[in-house]
Amino acid sequence: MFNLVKYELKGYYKDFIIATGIIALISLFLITRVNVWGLQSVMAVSFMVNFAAAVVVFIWNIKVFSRDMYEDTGYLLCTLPQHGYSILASKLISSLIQALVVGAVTMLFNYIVFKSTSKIDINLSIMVTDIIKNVNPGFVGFMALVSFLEYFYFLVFIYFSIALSKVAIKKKKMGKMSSFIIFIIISIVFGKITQFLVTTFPQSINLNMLSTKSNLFVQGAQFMPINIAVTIFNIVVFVLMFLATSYIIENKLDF
Amino acid sequence: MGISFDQKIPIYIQIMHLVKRDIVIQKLKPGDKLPSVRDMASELKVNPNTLQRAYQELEREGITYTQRGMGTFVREDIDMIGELKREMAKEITDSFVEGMMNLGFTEKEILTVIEDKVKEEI
Amino acid sequence: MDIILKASNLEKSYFNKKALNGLNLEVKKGRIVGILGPNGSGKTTFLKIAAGILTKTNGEILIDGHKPGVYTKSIVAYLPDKEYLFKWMKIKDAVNFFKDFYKDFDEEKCKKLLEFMNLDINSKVKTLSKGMAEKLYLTLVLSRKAKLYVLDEPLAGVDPTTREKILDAILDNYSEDSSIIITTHLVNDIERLFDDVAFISEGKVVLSGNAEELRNEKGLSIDQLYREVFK
Repeated sequence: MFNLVKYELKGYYKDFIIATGIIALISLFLITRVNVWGLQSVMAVSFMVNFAAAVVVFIWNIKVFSRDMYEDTGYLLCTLPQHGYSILASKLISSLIQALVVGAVTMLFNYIVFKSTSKIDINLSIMVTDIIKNVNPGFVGFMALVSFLEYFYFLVFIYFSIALSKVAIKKKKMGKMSSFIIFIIISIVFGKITQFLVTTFPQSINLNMLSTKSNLFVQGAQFMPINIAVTIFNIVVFVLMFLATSYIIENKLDF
Repeated sequence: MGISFDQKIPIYIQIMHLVKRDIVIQKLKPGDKLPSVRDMASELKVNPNTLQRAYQELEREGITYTQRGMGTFVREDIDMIGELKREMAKEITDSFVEGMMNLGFTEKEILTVIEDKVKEEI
Repeated sequence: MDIILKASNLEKSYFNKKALNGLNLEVKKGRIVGILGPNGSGKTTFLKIAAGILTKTNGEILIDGHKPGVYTKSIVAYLPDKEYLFKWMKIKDAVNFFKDFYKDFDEEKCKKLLEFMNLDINSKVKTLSKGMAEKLYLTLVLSRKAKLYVLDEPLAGVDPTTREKILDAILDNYSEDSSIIITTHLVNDIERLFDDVAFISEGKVVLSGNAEELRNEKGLSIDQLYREVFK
């Protein structure tokens, strides 16, 4: 499985370098523009770069799976003596590493830009430290972890849709459209089920968003509720989709 | 591409013919070891199983014998070699005479042609 | 296992056609088998099912007694008629790839074969001509000590010198413990390598047997027999 990850990422070597290069160039360019454009604009552009990077990573993550489903390289992958779950896991891990690497690069340059702008604007610096003081670090950590897992869930969901459409619809042209349609349909169904669960089983765990050092008083709105039933549902669905996709990869693919 | 074989006729028979010929012209002497199946197959560019069959048939016909672990050898049997020579000659002459008769040559004419040809060669 | 591949009444249907319509075939250990037929007869479909990248619709196929799956993929070396290596790879990446994923890969043998085929280990895969790419794929496949080699048109689209080299490499690779299935149109060049042949038409085997015996029986070369069967 790790060999699969290795070769997957080796193929993206060039892409990583180009992406890093572009982010670096834009960031360095922004630093020089701080005085000319003003703080707001620089931050805005920085934010757009972040967004663009995220979109690019997202596209890579999908391609990591779809390319082998639809192109001749699928022959190479599917003649290997690898189990379906191993292939699927390697795709997820590769996607994760892509996201982490690009994310780290983006954050690094964000920090560099921020540092150089905060020299200029003391107020911004104070504001940021203020926010940090008030937020519960545990909550942040937890949310980070959850976002992580949610993204995995999202990817498995997408991979499942792609795999299912590859099996169900034989025409290649229809394939990409149909995987999108399958994704939408399942999302709607899951949405309805989630709604139903929330109303039928309202039991939740409440997370405190504010740190203990905080002096803010927001009338109880400091809690974020996590519905237990929905969480269980999500976990079950994740496992099922992972297993189903693995099964399809190992037994049902036709090239 | 190795030796050219007539692919209409079983190849193993043609290989046997090659070996018999080598024995008759004394390229392979009595007691000599035949090349291994693999080597020969590689040189002639044929399937080793075909070679194997050829060797088995040669053994069956009493032309060679196999010693386990050592290889296949030409039988030290002068009579057998003489017989081979006669057999091969018969093949050539049968084919020649038939061909000539099909062309319409008479007995006398055929003999004359042969005499002339042999004189030429010498 | 004496029989390395056994296909019984194998069927593969698509929406609009039946590629395999009850195909029966047995391949014994240590044999080189030619699968011959015109385009669309089902040869490639059959090979893909044996390689495990296509699913059957009906019937049975067993490789070393197993259904196509992870185990069979580890003992079957497949040469497809497609360019299937990753575009970013150099030849040495491809070699390492095979080494990493196949326990039966012989790196020494691979290096020797690459030399024999005049391939430079540092060339990029995407810059190879069709003939060179074919030589590379064959090298990778033959460097595995597989129980069954499945070669789909190994001679297609290559010049005569390359063809020679490919035939030499295939012959050289022969072993009593493995079998080779080859499909081809160029019957004349390769028929002397075949132990057995099977003629496929419209998804079925219409004639099969030992090549030498067929020559004996019919008084024809396999190439001539091919033309007879498919005229």
